[in-house]
Parts: sequence; structure tokens; C-alpha cells
Amino acid sequence: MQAPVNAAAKPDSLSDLDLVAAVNGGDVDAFEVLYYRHRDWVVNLAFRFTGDRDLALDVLQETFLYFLKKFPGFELSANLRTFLYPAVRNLSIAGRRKAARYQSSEEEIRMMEARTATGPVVAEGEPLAAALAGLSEEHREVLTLRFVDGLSLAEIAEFMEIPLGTVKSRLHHGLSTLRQDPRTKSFFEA
Amino acid sequence: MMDKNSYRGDEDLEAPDKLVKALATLPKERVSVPRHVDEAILREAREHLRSVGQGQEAKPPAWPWAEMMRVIGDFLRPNGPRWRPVALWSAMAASFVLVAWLMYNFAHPASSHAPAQSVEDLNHDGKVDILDAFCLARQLERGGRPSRQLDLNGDGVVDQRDVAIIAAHAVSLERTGRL
Repeated sequence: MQAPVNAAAKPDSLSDLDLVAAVNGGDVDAFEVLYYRHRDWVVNLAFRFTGDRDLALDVLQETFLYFLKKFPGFELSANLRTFLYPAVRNLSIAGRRKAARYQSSEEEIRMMEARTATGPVVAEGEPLAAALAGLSEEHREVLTLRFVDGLSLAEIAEFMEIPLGTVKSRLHHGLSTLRQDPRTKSFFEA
Repeated sequence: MMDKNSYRGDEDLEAPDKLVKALATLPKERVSVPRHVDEAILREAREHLRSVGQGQEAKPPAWPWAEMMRVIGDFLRPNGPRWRPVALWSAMAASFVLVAWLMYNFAHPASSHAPAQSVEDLNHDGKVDILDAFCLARQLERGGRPSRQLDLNGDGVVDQRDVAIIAAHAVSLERTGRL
């Protein structure tokens, strides 16, 4: 049973669930809190997918406008980021395709899409980053969502819209690759 | 679809603390959001949620004429069926003809077209109007002998009662243009 919203509580201290309920009633301040709470996560996730700052900012706007149009009547059943992640991902992919069309032929677009999306910045002498960059986008994303964003396996499955078994398989494969990589096997040694 | 190296258990899915800390501290390029982007998004939110708060999805028309123009605009929308403009223009043309006919009849009542030989047209000006009633009244006052056809009420005499009938007819003609 959901606890009643404490009208006297500061908006910042309210849960996403309470804030969504307030937004359903037309509360602009509640939406603003949600926006600032998740803004940086959304834009940096979009940057992870697109590799381009301007595209990432476009995706940020499109994501929150998409979210806004769900009101009134939006029902939050889980973590808000579980809802936002597929939107960011799909909008990023669409944005990448659209940007590529202005510059490349269809053949180049296909080749571009076959390449892995951007990974972490590979600094000089940063073996872990280099090892991660060598993983496929799917495996790297699962590792990042699990150990950088701190999502549970079930949440990752929901985010990426894949079965739980596939999440576990990709996570296992990613860890196994890092364990066997000379650059990163030291992390697995006692 | 399972990868070749299927995991053997959930213990294979845990990462050592050293790795987790290293992943968390990896240099990441962060995107800072310009203020105008925040303002644009929040402005959209205020617009959209204002109508949510007022419990309405669309603003009602200011007054009926606005709604009529909207309907007409929708009717004439280029994407509508081809017959729509033709039907509307036909209806408008028919309305124009009707209005013109009414205006013409108002400006030219039917009395002006009454036949000159009408018995009530005492002054022979081609129409039956109050002047004819005055004409009969003057004849009676001077002791004249009006035509028996002017015994409009059929009482056998031509008198003030017949004058009143002509006068009534004249007013009726002015109103309807018809006898």
C-alpha cells in the first residue's frame, strides 16, 4: 500500500513515486525535481550511446518531452530510470542514424552501426578502459549498468528489454573476458 | 541466445571489489547541460502541466463564431475529401441568392407590382397603398359616389368601413408585399 504523500515534505526528499503522483495532478515543481534528479544520468547515458555532445543534449530534450507527454495518467511501477533507459537508448540510436544520414552514404551508415558505440574514454596507459573498449557494445553495456550504475540484474533486463538469462550470460562473458585479459586479470587475483 | 561460455552460477556474476572501484573511477567524459536547455524543457513542462492541472486537454472556443470558423477551416482543409469545397461553395452561393432575393423583395414590395386595374388602386398609380384609402375617404367626404366595387365588406354601401379595409390592406401589402 502506497503511503500518502506528505504535502509538507520538501519536494527533494520525496520519492520518484510520490513526485510522479504529484505531476499527474499538474504539479510543475514536482516535475522540475524529477528532471534535475535524473538529468545528468540521462544526458551522460545518451553521450555513452551517441558519442556526441550535441546529440546527447538533443536526446536529453526528446527524452524528457517524451516523458512529459505521458502525463496525466503515467503509472510508475519501478525505478524511473527503468522507464527512461529504453527511451534514451532508442532516441540515441535514432539520433545517430539521423546525424549519419547528413554525412554518409547508406553503406557508410551500415558500417558505422556495425561498429561498437563509444566506450569509456581510453586514456593513455589506462588498461581497464582499453580492455573495456575491446568488448562488444552489448557486453560493455551490461557491465557498466551493473557495476557503474549499480542496477540489479532484473533492472538491467528491463532496461535493455532482454531476458534475464541473456543479461546473466552477457555479464558472465564480460567478466570472463576481463579475467583472461592480461591487462585486467590482476583485478581478479587475491 | 546464450553465449558459448554459459555461466555456471550467480557467483560467476560477481566482480571483485578492486574491479568495481576501478570501474567507478574510470575517467568519463561528462556532458554539462546548458541553462537554456533546462529552461526550454521546463517551459514545455509548465505549458503542458498547466492544462493538466486545470483538468482540461483543449481550450474551449472563445465564442461560437470561433468554433464555426474552426469547423469551416477543418472542412476546407486540403487533406479533406475533394467534394468538400464544392459543397461548401454551393451552399454559400445558394445562401447568397436567398439573401439577395429577400433583400430585393424587401426593397420592392409586391404592392408595387399590383395590376393597375385593381379596384382598390383608386389613384391609378399602379399600387394599392394608404393613399388609396385617403382617396376613398376624400370622395366620401365630398359626397362623391364611389364605384360599387369598392363595397369591400359587402354590406351594400361604400363607407368608412371600406376605407378602413383598404387601409388595412395597404399596411398588409407593405409588410408582406402581397394582398
